[in-house]
Amino acid sequence: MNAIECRDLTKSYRGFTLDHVSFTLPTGCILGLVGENGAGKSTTLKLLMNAISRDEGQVSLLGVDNQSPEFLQTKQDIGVVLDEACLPEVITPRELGKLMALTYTRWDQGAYENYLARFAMPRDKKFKELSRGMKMKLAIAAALSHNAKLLLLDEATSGLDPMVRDEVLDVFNDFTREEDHTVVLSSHIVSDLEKICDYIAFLHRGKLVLFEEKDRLLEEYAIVKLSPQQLQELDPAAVAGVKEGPYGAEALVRRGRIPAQFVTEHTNLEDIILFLAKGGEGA
Amino acid sequence: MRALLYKDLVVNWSNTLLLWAVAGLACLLPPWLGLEGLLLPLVFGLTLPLLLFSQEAKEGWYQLLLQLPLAPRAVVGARYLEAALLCLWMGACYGLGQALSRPRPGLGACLAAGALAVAILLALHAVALPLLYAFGPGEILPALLATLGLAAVVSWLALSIDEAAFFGLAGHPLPLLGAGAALFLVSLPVAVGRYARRGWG
Repeated sequence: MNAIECRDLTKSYRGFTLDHVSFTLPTGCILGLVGENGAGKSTTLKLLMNAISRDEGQVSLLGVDNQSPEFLQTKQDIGVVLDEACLPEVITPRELGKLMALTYTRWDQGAYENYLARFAMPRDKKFKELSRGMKMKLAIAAALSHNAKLLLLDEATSGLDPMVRDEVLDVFNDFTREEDHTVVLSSHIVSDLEKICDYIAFLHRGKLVLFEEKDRLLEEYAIVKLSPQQLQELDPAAVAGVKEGPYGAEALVRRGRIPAQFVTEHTNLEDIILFLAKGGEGA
Repeated sequence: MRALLYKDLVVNWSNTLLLWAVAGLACLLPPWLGLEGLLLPLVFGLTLPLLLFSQEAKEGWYQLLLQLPLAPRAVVGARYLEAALLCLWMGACYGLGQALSRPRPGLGACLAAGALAVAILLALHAVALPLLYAFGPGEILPALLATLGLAAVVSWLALSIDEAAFFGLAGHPLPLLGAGAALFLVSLPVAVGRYARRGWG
């Protein structure tokens, strides 16, 4: 069973359209959903949860259509963390634990207390009084304490300092040690995604430009520095993006499609995304 | 449902207590002080719960409830249960206010006044709650204006058709209470549908 199957997912707002997004995510993987601000990452996650109604398309999570009555039961297996203001301002960590225990049939209070201790969370402080990092950690603790099989995380590491981000990414990595556990992590911090993700989905202006295994992506693409004349010699199908400067050009190319005389440099995910966003064809 | 009651009775206990206290006073004081009519209790009785609902939405409760595995009928049902209990409380306070007024009416008249207040409050909530879920929890003003507008239109129509019968209704509080309760219950699936369809908008 795939964790997520998404076909032609479409949602239109004034001035923005999430346009026929389709992908399939196998169980047991971590998907990094990357894109600039306003690309449609949060919209995609909300559509996956059926928190907003879609205009077109089909979505199934853990094998269940997210608009079917059965999806209510499936939500027991899904943990959600949204950007920043994701919990009520007046709730304390202690009260949140009790509320979740009354909501989730497989709530694990012991696991929740362990996460609170690990994150040094004050039990009786209201959510609005917590720092940004603490707020996010509390939301993550709640999402991980009901034996979820799928985590949907929207900008869960944004605004966190590097130590906290590293700690949180370790938690997500630990979560996917179980082979039926899957994570979708949206972020514009590409370096975080490169550390832990198995798959990368790149959204740009509402379109899914790329959905690929991270390792294959890094194998497939390379950077080449060349002159404008050399750039003309390349097969256009080999070039995914170009940055022209006063002294020459840098091109993101598909390794297997360029002549051997060109010297390629290894690239990272951030460069690939920048090149694809700024120009050239999609993958 | 238990989670939702925990939310209102434990987490939000101070807001809930304040709501019940102010709503109770708004229904108790006017008859006690000799102010005629139900207008003030009804306006308070409708506005205060809607304001609280809107405040909860601003605090992030609405978003949280949408994420959790809670059936729409449980979420809206809890809201309806609390609204019904609040209407009963306000009716009891109004009846008590009547009992404390001068000249002191009989027990029957106080109970009838309380029942009338409950009936009208239930009917107003029956209109307001589905509208609130339709407009969105942050948009209480359109829901409030639409409810009061509808109540005014219905009252005007009824007065136009038969003024005597309209005022005579006040003499039949139990049928009115039944009608108010029936309208309240009928509006529940409508509100559930609006909530389920609206999501985060």
